[in-house]
Amino acid sequence: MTAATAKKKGKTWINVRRRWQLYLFLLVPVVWVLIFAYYPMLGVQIAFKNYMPRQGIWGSKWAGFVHFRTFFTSYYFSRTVGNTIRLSLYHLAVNFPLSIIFALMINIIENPWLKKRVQTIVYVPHFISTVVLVGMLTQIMNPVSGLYGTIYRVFNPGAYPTDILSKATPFIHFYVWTGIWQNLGWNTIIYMAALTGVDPELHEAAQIDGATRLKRMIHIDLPTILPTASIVLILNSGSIMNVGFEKAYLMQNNINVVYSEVISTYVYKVGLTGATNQFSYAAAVGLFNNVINGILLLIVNGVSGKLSEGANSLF
Amino acid sequence: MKKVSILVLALLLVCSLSSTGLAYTDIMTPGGELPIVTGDYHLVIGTPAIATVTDYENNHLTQYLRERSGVDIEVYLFDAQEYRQQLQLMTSAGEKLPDTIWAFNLTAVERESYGRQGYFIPLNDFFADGDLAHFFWDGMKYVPEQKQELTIKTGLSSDGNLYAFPFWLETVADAWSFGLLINNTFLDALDMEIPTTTEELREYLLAVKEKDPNGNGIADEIPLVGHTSWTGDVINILMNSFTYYPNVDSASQLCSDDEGNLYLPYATEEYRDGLRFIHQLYEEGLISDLSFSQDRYGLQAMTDLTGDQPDVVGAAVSHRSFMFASHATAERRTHYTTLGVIEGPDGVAFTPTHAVEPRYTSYITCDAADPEIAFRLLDMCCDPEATFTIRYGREGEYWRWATEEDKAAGAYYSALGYTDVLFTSNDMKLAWGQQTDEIWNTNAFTWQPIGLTALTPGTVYENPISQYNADDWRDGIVARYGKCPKILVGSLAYTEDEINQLGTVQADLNTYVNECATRFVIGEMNLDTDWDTFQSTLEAMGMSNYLATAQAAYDRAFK
Repeated sequence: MTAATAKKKGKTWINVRRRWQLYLFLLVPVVWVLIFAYYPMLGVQIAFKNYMPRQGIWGSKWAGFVHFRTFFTSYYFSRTVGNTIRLSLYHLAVNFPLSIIFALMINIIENPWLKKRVQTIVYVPHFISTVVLVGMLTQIMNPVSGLYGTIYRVFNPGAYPTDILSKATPFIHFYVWTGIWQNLGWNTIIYMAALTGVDPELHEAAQIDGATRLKRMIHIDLPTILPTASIVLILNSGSIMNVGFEKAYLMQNNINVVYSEVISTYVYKVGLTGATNQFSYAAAVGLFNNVINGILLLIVNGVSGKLSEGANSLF
Repeated sequence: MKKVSILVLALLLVCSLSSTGLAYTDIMTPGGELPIVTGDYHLVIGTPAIATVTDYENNHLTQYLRERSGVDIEVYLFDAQEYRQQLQLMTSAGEKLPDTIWAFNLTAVERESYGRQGYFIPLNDFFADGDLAHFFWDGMKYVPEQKQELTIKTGLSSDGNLYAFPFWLETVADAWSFGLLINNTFLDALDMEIPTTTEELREYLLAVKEKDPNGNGIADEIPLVGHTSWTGDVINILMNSFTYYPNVDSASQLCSDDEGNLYLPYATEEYRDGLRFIHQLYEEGLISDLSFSQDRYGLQAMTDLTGDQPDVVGAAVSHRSFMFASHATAERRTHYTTLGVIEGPDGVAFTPTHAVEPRYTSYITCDAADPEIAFRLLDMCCDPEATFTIRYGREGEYWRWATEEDKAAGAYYSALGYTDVLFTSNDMKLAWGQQTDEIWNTNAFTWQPIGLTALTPGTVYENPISQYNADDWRDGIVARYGKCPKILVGSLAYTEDEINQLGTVQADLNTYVNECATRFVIGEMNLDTDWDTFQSTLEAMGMSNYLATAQAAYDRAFK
């Protein structure tokens, strides 16, 4: 510990002592976090145990890394990890640039009335629950009774189109693009907030200098949201291994399971269904998942910090 | 005055002494007699609070149990969802448990571990005593013979103890709801008979596809379609014309020959032949792709039509109720006939079914002062009158004993030999699950074996559609009934070591087989070239080991 930090630390304690009444307020949230956020984390130890419900988390016998080894050698390891990463990267690759472009587009709408209306309309799908979304999807895409089939039959009377949902490969596109449809508007909020912070004088000055709208967008708006964008990217990469369980599970059928079996659905199946609940195994798989996420987050954060010389990184 | 009060005091003292000093044996009546106790006796029943029950204390059922048993029953309510955790907390904190806990859905593993730690009392000896378990053994006359032995055996934990009081809940239709419904208007238009073999079924489906049975001039017919919800599995239904394959409600896919040797059907050549046939139907365009992607509402949109919309579905794999929003009154319900079994080329004709098992959800805890009395109380619930009161509500209002008139009308399932009529709740039912203070809204501690629930008369409906719906379904169930192997494999009690050793194999096999079966059928996998890979992958997942472990567990309990 250097003298400077020691001094700083000492100062903190002096402050605490002087204003202890204020710091007392901190006690409640700190205790709350400890009890509800940190204490439950100890439960992750069941990943290294043979968890038996009656013996409890602390009483179950230690098993070492056996559950991790089982997962790595399992038939489903490469499939679930592969599918998870594929879905995640695809989604990130589409969602990340699109939401920036969309935010910039909304931003250049000059009529405030129109701008507000557009924003509201694109936010709405975000509030539809996943179950309803998947229900809408299967209903619309039904080749016999759905909108898709009805439109098809207007042109080909008596015939039914192919049932796209019972083909394996379209799953991934449906998964990603329904996600985009649902959340694109919502994802622009953070960029819109950054864009409102742009000094109008910058735009005026650029306009006087003869910059077109496109030029102003590239040279003023884009740089403004770049720090936000990199933070969003870092946060997103921290959840690359987390593909939403609900949607994948709800859209899953025996045909597309080759592409739709992701880590979370697999954990659900082995952990909570079936005759012998494998809590420990499911916990081990989940833990593995989160460790990878953590590592990815640190890597992207590091790279981003290097590139921007420390300006655009989380910590 | 003083003398009198001393005398009264002394008298009180003697009374209290004698009442505390009484052993339960002094106030308990002999087995089979009611009430159970003749003196004051307090007992606590713990049960999860069901939200639709408005009052447990002044509930008719609670009063009934008190009056009939003579026991002063106190109901201790657990949380409706978190009762398992609550029980775990209570035991680990050393809190006093209720004497007996009812309607606790615990897994076999949980049941065994509570039992082994002594929180639940093993009941083997109580059942061995025919007196204590009077109504239980008396109620056995309603249980089919081959299932009587299973009532206790299925519930045995791997240490050989029975930690729960078994109750039956089975209706005739329960396990036989899986099969085909065929469009009889199409049959008429095509001038065909109801198919009974796989070959006839194929001919019918081909005719539906090609000969425009709905007569609208366009080929919009869908020969055969199912769905991904319960009872909608096309492969499962058709497979049973080749080899027995249990339905989705079965505890596992394990099957057994008549000697109790277990096997897995998907490792057999018959299974491969079945897939070949189903694949052929698919290739010929006779099975709709939608069978593998749509849920039950997708099918309903195809079959529950009104007005002049022409029928399109030739045959559906489904429960009747999933084909119509209200199957008892739907206009098109009469267009569909419920089929029995379809015979395969080698004469195999099964219905996918499952071993219906007793419910093991009632326990007597280590804190029961006199487990015998708690046991007698559970035993009392096996009495038909008690069971009907628990299930339906008070006699005369929500159910009644059969009258001569009911008996004359005949039994609903007389075709299966259930010719007696004992009771009926037709037209007097308390709608199940509604807000009530009449019953506890649970079936968990009722003795309703198949031989009891079948003893009801058929209903006569004014609406001809409702009548058709009841009769057609009944005929279908009767035709499917009992078309299964002699031994059905249900839940097996594994030891802790076996569970750890099995790990995820059962879930893995299940997922993989379902996936591959579908891919074989739609042609993404080839039955000639990919079959060996399929089998070797199953093997790599631990199929043999699973089978051996299951056999060991099976032998332990049933041999």
